[in-house]
Amino acid sequence: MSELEKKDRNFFKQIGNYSEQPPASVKAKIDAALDKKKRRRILWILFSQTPSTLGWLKIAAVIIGIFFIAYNFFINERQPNLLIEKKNETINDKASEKTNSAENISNSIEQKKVIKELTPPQKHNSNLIINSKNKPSFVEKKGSLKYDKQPVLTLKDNSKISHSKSKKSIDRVYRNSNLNIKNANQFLVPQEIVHLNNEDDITESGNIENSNGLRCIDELSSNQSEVLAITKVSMDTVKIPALNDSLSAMQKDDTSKHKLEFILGIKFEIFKQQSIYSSNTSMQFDENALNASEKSQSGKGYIISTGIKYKNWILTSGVKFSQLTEQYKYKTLTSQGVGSLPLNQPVGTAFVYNDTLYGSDNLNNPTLSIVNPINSIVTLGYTTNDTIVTNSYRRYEIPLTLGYQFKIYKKFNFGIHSGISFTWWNKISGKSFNVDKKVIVDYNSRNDIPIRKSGLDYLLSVELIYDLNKNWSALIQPSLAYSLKSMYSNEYVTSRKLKRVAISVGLNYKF
Amino acid sequence: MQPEEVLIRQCLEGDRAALDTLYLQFSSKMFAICLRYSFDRMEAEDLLQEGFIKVYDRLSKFNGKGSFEGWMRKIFVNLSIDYYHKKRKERERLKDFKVEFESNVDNTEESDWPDLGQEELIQLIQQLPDGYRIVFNLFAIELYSHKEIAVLLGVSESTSKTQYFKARRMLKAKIYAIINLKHQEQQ
Repeated sequence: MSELEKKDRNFFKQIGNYSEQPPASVKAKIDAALDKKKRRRILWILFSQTPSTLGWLKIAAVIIGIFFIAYNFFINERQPNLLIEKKNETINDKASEKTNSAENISNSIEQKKVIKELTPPQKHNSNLIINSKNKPSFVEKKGSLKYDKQPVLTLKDNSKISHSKSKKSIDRVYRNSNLNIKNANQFLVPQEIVHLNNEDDITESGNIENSNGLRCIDELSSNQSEVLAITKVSMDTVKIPALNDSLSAMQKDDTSKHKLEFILGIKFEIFKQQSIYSSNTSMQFDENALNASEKSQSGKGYIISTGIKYKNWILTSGVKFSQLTEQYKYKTLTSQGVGSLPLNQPVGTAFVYNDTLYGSDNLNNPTLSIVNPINSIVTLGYTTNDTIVTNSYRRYEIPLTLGYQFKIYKKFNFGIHSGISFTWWNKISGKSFNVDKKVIVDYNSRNDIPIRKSGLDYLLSVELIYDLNKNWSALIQPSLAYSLKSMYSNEYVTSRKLKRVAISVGLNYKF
Repeated sequence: MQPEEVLIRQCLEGDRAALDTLYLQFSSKMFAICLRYSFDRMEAEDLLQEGFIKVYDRLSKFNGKGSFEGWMRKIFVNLSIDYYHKKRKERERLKDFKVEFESNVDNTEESDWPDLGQEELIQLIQQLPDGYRIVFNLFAIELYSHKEIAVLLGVSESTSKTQYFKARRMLKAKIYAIINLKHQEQQ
């Protein structure tokens, strides 16, 4: 350190100890900011800003939650308004499939219910008919009812559904009519258990109401003669025959071609990426160097997707998290001073591309002039070294695509998707070439290098899907993505767009 | 335990009164740092606000080694450096200043500094261009070496030296200008 600098430090020592009372408004602002931060901290529990695994699980949970809400919304639109408070429920279903599309259904549901209100389902053409020749009848054995003649439920396509086992305690209202069998609950509505003390419990409007005030609205008719059997049984010990999942599945198959399907999927992706720079002449030397020495750009991604499918069309969205690593090879030049500077002492760094030196006034010459720290001109020699730097990025994406899927062979389906992806650059770390200073500098945030916070990509993908069973399917999906906006902000001297080729594998679950 | 340690522990427990005490104890000194690194008082107030919030956030990371004031001071200096990076565009003004200065000022390499009040000196430091101001503060007042400054600012060591010398020239010129003005007023 020179004497001059020592004197400076001595003089300004007093300034280092200077203090001044800040205005009171600053304290008020700090207090307000702290209060705001405290409130944010509560939200932080749900959504942390950092891309931790936990954070992603939370986002995934929210997406799945939204999905189920949407799913239930659509399902409920097709159901009557049932308000049932279940106190305790145990379900034990057994089902077996038989050939020729006939099914035997064996199930029992034991439940304690309080039926508050049952709104009648709309009468419509159902696929299920109770065969009039096989009306159920009951016999009393040891104080409880059993089927004397089991009901046979027939589908319109002549496949049969029957209750194969007798029930111990049955208290029911059975009807010989078309039934709404949208699902097991709806099927149970017309044969709902009621606890009747006498016929007075059947109201004028056709509702059946028991002495405890529990009621079941007769959805088909107010004609009492249609009530085939009403017996007394304690609500707490009631057992109800119900259709099991097989019936629902059968019905689902029958109607699946005409209704919405909801799909939830997880995917893992690996990708290769290429940068496309603008040909900005002022940055030519730097970008040439970058392009020429770009070693590799690769990464991996994790995707949670949801989809709504109608017929062959599918609308897909989700969340994707990807990590990108890229490597650049810089050729660095280390100058060595001679003459007025100590021999062999490095005094600066410049860059060489295609045997051309950048970072100094004197190019194409093994001896060159640079300005040394005390503003005198000295002659220098140089040596070159290769420097490989690695940059890493984290990125979130929300893709939105529209696709078309169709069956190609047995369980194989093919799909094509196209759409856009909203992207957010999150964590950036690495090194960059500083154009002004001609040096490689570290950067760890968006302040150091002007990378946009968000971007937009175009997506195109094809997929091959293999149906594992009625719900699960596996898929392999090659895709192409192209940045519609530069990853650098507009102020930066060049633009950089990304072209990405990826392949992903995953599983889908169809509801 | 030392009172300072007690205060920190209370702050970490979320005691709002302890945070207030911490502010009262250190705000004046930290405000002076902010003034030196900022362009004007408003920017200094912003720095002070952000700096204290950062201090509160990072209190748990203070390991007790070294003085607490020194630790706080480092946070405020680093925050000022971050501000400097954000204001990259404004640094372009350096060139204009350079031309203006070199054509108008003499006696710039004198080692002695004329007397001037601390408050006035800080105001003059504030008037330096961002790049000069930050290098000058770091070297002359925070006692960083040019090598350390080069790392902090992402510049070469020689750039740091050059900026420092230009800053001191400009500052000295401004001081002389004020002194001359005072003389003229007295006459």
